[in-house]
Amino acid sequence: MDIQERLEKIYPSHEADEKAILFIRKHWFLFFMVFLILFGMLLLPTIVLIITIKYFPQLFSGSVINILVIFGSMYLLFLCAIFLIGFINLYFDVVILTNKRIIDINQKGLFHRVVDELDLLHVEDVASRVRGILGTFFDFGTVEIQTAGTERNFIFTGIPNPRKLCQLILAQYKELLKADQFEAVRRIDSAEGLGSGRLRSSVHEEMHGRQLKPRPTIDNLIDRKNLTNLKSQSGQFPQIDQAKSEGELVEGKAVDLNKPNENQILIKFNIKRENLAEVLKILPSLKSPTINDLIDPKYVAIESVVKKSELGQLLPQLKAKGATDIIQSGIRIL
Amino acid sequence: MTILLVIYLLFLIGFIVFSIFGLYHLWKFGFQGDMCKIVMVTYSIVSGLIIFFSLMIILALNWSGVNFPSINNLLPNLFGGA
Repeated sequence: MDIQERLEKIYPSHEADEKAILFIRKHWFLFFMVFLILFGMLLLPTIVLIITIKYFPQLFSGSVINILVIFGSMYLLFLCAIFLIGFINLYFDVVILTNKRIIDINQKGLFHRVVDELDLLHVEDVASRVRGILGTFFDFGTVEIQTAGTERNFIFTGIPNPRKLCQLILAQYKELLKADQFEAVRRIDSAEGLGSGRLRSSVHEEMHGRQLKPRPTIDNLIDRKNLTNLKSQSGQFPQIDQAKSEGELVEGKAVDLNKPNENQILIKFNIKRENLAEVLKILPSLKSPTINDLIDPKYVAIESVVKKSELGQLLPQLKAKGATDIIQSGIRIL
Repeated sequence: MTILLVIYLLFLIGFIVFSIFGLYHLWKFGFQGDMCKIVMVTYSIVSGLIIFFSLMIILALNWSGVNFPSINNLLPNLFGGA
């Protein structure tokens, strides 16, 4: 039976995607100690009995034999019961390391079973201790796991090769931490509408050792319903149409949102209020131009995003309509 | 001595009940290929043999008219007194 099947049998309520990595029982020397104690408990009365029979045979007469048989058999059965309890206590004390948590099953007698679970992400520190001649010689000891917050620390005693368990716990913790961070980023991406499962930084690429997926596109940022409207209103927002025709907004193409938009610029100018309507007819923008009042009520200030390639054609038209103080600057769409 | 036999009988019942629970525990939580099956068989055989032989000896012994030995009878025997 492999470790996963053991996990399913001993701990059927585990998560569906939970994989057992390590299944540890107590070190065999502890079982040997139980045998040794029982052997001593058997040997000592036997020696006493033999000596008594040899040197005081007169004691074993009449009803003494009857009593000896009764209590002798009771004692032997008692030793059998101790063996069974000892074996169950030790053999069913199990530590299971999965890819998500540590399960500590502590058997205390026949009807007392304590199952402790520790999420691997709550592990703060892991320490192994090998004490004494026997522990050093047979390589068994204690593994102590310090946990975050108010959770109690986990202490596993009599663990064979405790350093290996520590290393495995730490390795699994790191794996889980990476996966958890990746999941957190994925959730943030999803919440921001950047597409599910898309990695946002090279850190995650390094962590997972795989290629960086295409970065979020404009299509992910713009509400798809609005985008459909934009598409249907082709010509009304020429800068977007232009961008789309140049492949910048084509779905699936990588666009770096942090880089300045080299195809579009922001222009600002002042114009007489009476010419405003005519200027707005020729002026493109992302949605509609921004119009600000000036102190001089005859003039207004206009801001608009226009396509760089159209600027040469647009400027003479604006000047013809009376635009003055024309300023242009680069833009960065966030 | 009837009381001794009754005590033994009660102990035997308790032991058998305990053994059933213990063996059930091993059977339920044990795995294929682990030590549980070996322990179950060994335990059953050993305890069965102890019970069998003790019962055989008890049945073979004469229990009629047997009384608890008094300390007064034991001490002279032990120290070789009169």
